[in-house]
Amino acid sequence: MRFASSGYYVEKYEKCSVCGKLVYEERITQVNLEGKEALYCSEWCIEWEKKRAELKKKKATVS
Amino acid sequence: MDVVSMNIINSSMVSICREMGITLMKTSYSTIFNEALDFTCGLANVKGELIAVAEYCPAQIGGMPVLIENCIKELPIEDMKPGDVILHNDPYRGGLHVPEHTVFKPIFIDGEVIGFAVAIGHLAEIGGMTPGGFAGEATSIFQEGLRLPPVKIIQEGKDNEEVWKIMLANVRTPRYNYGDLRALISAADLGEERLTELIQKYGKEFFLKTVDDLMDYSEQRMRAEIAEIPNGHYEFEDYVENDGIEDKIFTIKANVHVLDDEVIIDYDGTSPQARGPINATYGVAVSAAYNAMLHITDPEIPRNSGCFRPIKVVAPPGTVVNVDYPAPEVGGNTETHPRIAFTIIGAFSKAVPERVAACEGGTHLNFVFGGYHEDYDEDYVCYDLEGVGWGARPYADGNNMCDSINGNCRTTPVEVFETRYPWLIEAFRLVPDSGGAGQYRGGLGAEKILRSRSDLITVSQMTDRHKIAPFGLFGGKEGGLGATLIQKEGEKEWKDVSEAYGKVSTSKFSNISIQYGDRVKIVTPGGGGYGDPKLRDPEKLKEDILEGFVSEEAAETLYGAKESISK
Repeated sequence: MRFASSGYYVEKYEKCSVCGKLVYEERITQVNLEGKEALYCSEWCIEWEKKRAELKKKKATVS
Repeated sequence: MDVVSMNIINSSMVSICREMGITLMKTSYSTIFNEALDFTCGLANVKGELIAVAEYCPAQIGGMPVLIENCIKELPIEDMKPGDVILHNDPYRGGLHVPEHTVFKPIFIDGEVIGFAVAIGHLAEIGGMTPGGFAGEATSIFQEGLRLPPVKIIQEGKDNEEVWKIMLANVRTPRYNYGDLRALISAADLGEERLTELIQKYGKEFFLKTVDDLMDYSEQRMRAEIAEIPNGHYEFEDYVENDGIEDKIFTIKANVHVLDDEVIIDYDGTSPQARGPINATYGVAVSAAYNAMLHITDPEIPRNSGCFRPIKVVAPPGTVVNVDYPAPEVGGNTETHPRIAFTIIGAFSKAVPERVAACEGGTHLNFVFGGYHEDYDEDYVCYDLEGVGWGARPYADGNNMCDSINGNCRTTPVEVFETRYPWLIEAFRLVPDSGGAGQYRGGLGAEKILRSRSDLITVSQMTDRHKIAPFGLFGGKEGGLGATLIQKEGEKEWKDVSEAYGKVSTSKFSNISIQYGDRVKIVTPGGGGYGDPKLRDPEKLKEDILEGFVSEEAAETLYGAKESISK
């Protein structure tokens, strides 16, 4: 979530694109695995997105 | 680490939380608090982390840290004053669902905030499109009731009358809401007073150090429990049968990754968010994960945020487990939470079968109604919940008729219910064969028949398990389905609400009219069985038949009993 410069609420709730947690001041914006700009709350989430994609790929190969 | 002092301080804090709950129970106006105990009382540190909690509603226990952490981002500590009490219920700001109102009070020691006394409770009436707050057909958060960002309902010890006015003008039962909110505030006041006494007794520095140690200890204990689970990736799925708007199934998926002494619970693969109100908030997704973990680990670990440090929750936004604004969400905390928790437990059944139970009924029934009560000459609203059969365990049958995994609430006694509301309870009994067959049998659900004594009662419901039964494990059978049926005055036939009122869903609906003499039958689901029914101890099966828990027919067809066992 963020606030307008006037201090009033702006009804926009910004979430980490991976874990879904609300994101405030501490934020990382970078391109995700699909090539789109995405918001992350931590380095952990950036890494987990990659690891999860690898696990899915591995599983698809096995099956 | 001073283990003796840590134990004394932990026990003292848990006692404070229990006393807060007793205060809330004894001073509240509505049956949802004073009979059902749908609340939780806890203590948090200055970061919003849970430091102690009593044994009330688990949904609120796991959600409390997420909630307080978000609130203090919006309402900074430096803006808080002694005597302030903050109120909040916004699902989109870390909350669980609109009815869940959190009251928290900063605790000042030497002019500095060292933590919070917290009381969370489910208010029976919150405005919105239905009396009782569970609009089974809502398609937007704005139909679900009044939403409050963190606001000071008490400022430096004095009522913030503007907030009270707004709140009480937006509900159908202002007198009850006033009383219930005062009860929540009283619980927070008591928590502040008692914790201040405790800190003064031990000294601030010693207390804070000991609480840090306590949380580290809980973390160590939880890590040790997780380390005993084999490393691996375990998956499981379960389903919500519909969302009240569309007749389609929604998947809840849990991907559980155990990595040494840590667990990652990732809901990747869960359905996109629904149009109807079955969506869970992020707080619910986290709370359900913590709830499941606390169920499969040592119950003696002190309950605080230290327990949660080794658990990482990944809840993709825009899904049924992490709804995006402004979709409806009221059923997420009552119906989807148990589905999430048991999906995680189902995943763990593949790793640690000796620690898990089969699925319980997985619904709170959420039977809500309102109207005008002639005897009392005032409007009333009731949020009524019912128990379900619990899943069988690897060593015992499931319990009959207990509230679902995230509630731990009580059923309102018939005498109280009939006194407070214009219904006559004609029957309330266990349903034979509703417990899933198994070496260990699932717990039984029940059937309740209510007859209206009023010209008009407006009824809504948010439940599930009318179509998809609670799962059994390791050869155990599914538990019985639930149902809601209506018999209009003068008619013999029982109809579901789709037949009687043309609703999309039989389990999720808003504002049907029940008139004088009409009957409503609520059937609650049973729990799943554990293990092959043919391995059930014949003596236990004989006892089941004598008790009326299992019919002779089921004993023969499901358990393979010979005729002689039932005679």
